Amino acid sequence: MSVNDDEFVWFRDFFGRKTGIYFEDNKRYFVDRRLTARMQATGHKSCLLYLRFVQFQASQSEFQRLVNAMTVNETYFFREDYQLIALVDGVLDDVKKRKKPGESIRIWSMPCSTGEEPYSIAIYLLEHWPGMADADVEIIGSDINSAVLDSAREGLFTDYALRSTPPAIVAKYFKQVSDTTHRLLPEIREAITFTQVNLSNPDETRSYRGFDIVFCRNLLIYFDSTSRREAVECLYGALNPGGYVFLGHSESMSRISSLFTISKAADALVYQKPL
Amino acid sequence: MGLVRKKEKTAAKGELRFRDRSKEDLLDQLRDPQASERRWAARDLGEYADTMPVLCDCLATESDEAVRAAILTSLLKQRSPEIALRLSTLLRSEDAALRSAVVDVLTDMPDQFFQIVDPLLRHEDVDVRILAVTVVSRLPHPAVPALLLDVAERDAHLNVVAAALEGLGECGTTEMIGRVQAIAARFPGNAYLSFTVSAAAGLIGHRSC
Amino acid sequence: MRRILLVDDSHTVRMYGRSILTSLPEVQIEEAQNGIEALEKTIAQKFDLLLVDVNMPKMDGYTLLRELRSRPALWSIPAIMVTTEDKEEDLRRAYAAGASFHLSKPFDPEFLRRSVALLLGEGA
Repeated sequence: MSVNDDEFVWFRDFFGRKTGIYFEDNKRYFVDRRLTARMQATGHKSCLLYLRFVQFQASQSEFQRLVNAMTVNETYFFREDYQLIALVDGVLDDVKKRKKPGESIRIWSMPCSTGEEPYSIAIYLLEHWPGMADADVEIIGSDINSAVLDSAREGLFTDYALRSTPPAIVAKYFKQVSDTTHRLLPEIREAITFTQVNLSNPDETRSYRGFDIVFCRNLLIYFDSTSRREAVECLYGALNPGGYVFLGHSESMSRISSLFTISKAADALVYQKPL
Repeated sequence: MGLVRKKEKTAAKGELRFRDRSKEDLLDQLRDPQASERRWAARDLGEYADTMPVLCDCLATESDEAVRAAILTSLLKQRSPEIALRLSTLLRSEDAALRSAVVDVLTDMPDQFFQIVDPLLRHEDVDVRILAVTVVSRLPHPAVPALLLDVAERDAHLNVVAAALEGLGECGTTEMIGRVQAIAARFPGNAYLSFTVSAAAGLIGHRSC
Repeated sequence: MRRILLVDDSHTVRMYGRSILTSLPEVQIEEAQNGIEALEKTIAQKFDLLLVDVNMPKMDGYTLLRELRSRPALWSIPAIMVTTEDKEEDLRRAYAAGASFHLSKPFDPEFLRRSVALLLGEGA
């Protein structure tokens, strides 16, 4: 069972159109392995027949499984923590002063994958942001992949996911359930809302508005330029004036969009929707 | 205080109106004094291909960058040679930010741009020719190298020739090296042009190793 | 050590500028492909001079200059605007945006070197 060049191109264009995520040639091995796994799971001997099946299945459940297979990302708690430092070292205070009484500070983690990012933000704020004492903070985690969202809600994490987490934090916020796994306390798990969304689809993102902070790390780089424009429009629309966007460590708006004002917070470059 | 769960969403003013707005309502909203309203209208008008002329007209006079970006995204969604043609007229604009935004979008509609590129490469305005060459250089189209070589051999203006050579450095083929090198003779003694010719020939040669 | 930032979407122009300026003593040259990248670099680290093209994708040269001039930490960095031709309109715009000086493309090597030296405070 294999994937030939034409089939790869067909898949790439089809998947790119539907999700905005576009696989370069250097991801060939990654794609082929996952495609053949899905072909095997669904009993299709030819990639072409498998892709036709995916395209025309009424329930689209196989398409969702395919998306899930193609969008697994490496993540762990407190990854790129220089951005969390920037949050508590100026960004949040700036946001807070524009809030009216009773208004929550709203943070969107997109993509949230298996939850490490939104949970990290939550814990970090509780531990390090004095402003938390008299502010309401609402955190929403979203992803195109439904399986990772289920996993995120479970709140079960391995030692590996917690490898950068101080033991005192693990002890405080997690309950050990086996030698190598820990479950996040319900107070934190239940405080985060997890939703499924495709960022490059304006119909799906339309209701995501009024956010003060968006973490959109290591997602935009996978989009083709048209879908990336669409995604940036969604992020812009999702933010309140003065709201902030955090991109991944190696990403920059310089290849993406000039809509956001650039500034520095602690050691991080941050992008802000103009006031 | 502290972490709170997402509250039941109360629809924002704009959102409620979305469900009720017709194309005519959206066209009115495109003239709203508030930029945020114009922006949502521009976003939603992307669904209506026949609004393309109105969107293009707005582009020339819209001063808000975010609204402009939304208009361009909608035009990109609709993409057609007609849109590429109308956008290309904005390459003559005095507004550098608008020119830059138009170049970005034209680059994202390669097939449509390619259909209207010839007159742009012969435009009387040097800056338009340079911008057209810039876009062409970024297009993944098999006819690009020959097109750029033609410009480099034919155009009277040094900066246009240099821009075409730059593009050739990225996509030219080994058979072209001789002709690329010959272009130095078109502007003899010009340090910048000989530099550009060697750079282009060097990059092409490097790729064939 | 003086740090110069070459801002132009053309790889060849940046290389050309670099080849001319490396002969100046004690200079370190860096590059940016458009106004946004230039702004990010100048926010992250100190530069002593910018050479800025007008037409660039994502953010043009005039917008970059206006951004620089609006920021207290960056407003006084010398910036040479590079124009295609010396049209009066373009020059007016360049200086209105905050250019310290202008040059037209393609640079005359000696003129570029002298202009840079002058703006870096070394005299002619």
